[in-house]
Amino acid sequence: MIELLEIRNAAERLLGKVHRTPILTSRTLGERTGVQLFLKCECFQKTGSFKPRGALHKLLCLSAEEKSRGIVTVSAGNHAQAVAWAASLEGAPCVVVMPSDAPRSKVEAVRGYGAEIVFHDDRATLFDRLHEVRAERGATFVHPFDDPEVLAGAGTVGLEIVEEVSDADAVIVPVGGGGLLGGVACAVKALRPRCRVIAVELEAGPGLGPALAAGKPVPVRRPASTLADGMTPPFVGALPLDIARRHVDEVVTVREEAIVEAMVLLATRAKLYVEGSGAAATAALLSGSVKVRRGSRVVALVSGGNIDPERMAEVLRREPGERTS
Amino acid sequence: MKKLEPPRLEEIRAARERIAGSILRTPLVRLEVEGCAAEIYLKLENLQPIGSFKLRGAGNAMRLVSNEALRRGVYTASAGNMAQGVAWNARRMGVPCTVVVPDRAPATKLAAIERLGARIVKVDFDAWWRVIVEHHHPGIEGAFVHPVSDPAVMAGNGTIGLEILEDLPDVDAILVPYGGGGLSCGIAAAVRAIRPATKVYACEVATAAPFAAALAAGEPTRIDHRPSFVDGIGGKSVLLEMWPLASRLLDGSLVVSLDEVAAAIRLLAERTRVIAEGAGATPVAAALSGKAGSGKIVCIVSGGNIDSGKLARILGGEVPEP
Repeated sequence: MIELLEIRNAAERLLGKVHRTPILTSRTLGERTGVQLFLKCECFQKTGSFKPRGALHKLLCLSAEEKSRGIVTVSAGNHAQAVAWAASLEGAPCVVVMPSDAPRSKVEAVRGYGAEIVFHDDRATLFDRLHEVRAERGATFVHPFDDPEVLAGAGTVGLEIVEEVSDADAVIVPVGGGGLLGGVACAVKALRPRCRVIAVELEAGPGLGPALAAGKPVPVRRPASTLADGMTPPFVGALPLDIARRHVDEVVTVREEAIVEAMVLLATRAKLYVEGSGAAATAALLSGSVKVRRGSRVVALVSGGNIDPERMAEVLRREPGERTS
Repeated sequence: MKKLEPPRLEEIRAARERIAGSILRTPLVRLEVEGCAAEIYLKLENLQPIGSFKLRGAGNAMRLVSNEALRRGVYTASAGNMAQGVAWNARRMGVPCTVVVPDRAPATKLAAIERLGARIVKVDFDAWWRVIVEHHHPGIEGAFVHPVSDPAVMAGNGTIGLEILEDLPDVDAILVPYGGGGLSCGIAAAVRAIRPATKVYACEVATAAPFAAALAAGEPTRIDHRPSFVDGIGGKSVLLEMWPLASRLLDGSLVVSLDEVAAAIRLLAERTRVIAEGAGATPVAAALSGKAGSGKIVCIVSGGNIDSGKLARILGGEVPEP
């Protein structure tokens, strides 16, 4: 569990260093399911996803000596960018272990923040490579989702939601490794125990549902192809799993088609440029995976907006349905 | 017709009170671009509920109409964002709304207007243009809300200027897309009154730049204008009644190419994660071109209503046909 006090302290440490992102309403999207819909736009966060909250908070908790030895992480996506960004802000040396097939845009972004990249061919042994690097350099590992300080940083999203939509009936959160879900669930449940926290994962590769059923982290099947690459971790973290057991009311799954449709609607109606994982919570609501009473006040977490324009172009071409003017 | 005057500061402040609670106070965000001399900020009006700034002006004008007159309804002449601005406010206020559109308006735009519950009256283009010039259409009941040259509409637009000066008091220049001139003049009226040192520039595309042409000629002239995907701005001439205001209030026109606008739409998506329409991205293109100089520059991203097929082409690196 992450205590509310720790999340509040994280908010204090992060103040002025990360954005307080806006919460937008969308009547058009909400009306489709008869709810009042709020979108928490972490796509506007530094580096384009919620990840800097946790990554920077972890760094801010390190001693000067630890920082000087540097940090290391493993990621092919938003966490890599966020850690590299946080390290450059704090002046700490940074190494990111990335799979050799990581998207070029992510590699460039990480390099742009001045981090060193160690490429590794085999995704199955990425963590082994990470631990080698860590041992060689005495660096601190910034885990993407199984670290209390990272989760406390992510939890600040939940604080902001409760402050602005104080009477929310439900908050819908996408799950990858569970860092965002864990942090947000702790904040929301501490302040609004009756607000439902709903987790969304991919139908083609669920992690949290099976782990809850098994009572322990289990390997997650990697979907052949998905736009929601942020929701395809090797496993759900032990810490988020423990939190989910107590604080998550429901776990639902979404299909790829629903994510595509939500991405198009968010672009054309809400004018938001959103990656697949970022659209998953909205998709779960619009496709009916999430069942809420009519008139409910529902917050969908838009977790990030990092998608290559060419891929987004394909998404917009794929869905010829309704268009705005 | 009465000579048009720009809104006074107290009218803009009153407008702000009137529309507070119904509009979004849009965020002002930094656009980080490496190697750019200017410090660029974006005023994201594309995040407003209807995807454009138009509900500010429409909302203010409609709240100035008496309740008794409102019961007979409101109407406007527009095929684009203003139609949605008026219809959106009418639905919110529970009054009937009619929109006069040119008969060849795209079906997608008409569908958006109908979705907001407004009645559509189709007329030929000349009759439609007459409504804009005469501020009236025979046979339609209710109060007319002009899309551009109405002091109350401009006062509503001016509220954007107040918000910018609160968020970035030492702004050096504000870049505004120039369509009818109502947005740029409304913002300029607010900014001139509070911080005269800040420049306010109109932004246009090279394929349709009537304000730049009028400034060069010293008077409104008709221009060769080529339709493009930047459909929210750029006509055959400036609106005559707006010329005295615009020529006095604005510091000039910055003209950019269609390629530059397409690149700006792409950059806004990649960096800021928002969708902008052509008109909305034009000030960003102007700021990036260096035409507005260095310093702190605010670009008004006026709207985000772009056909998704066109957006797909732009994100894929093309410049779409109109």
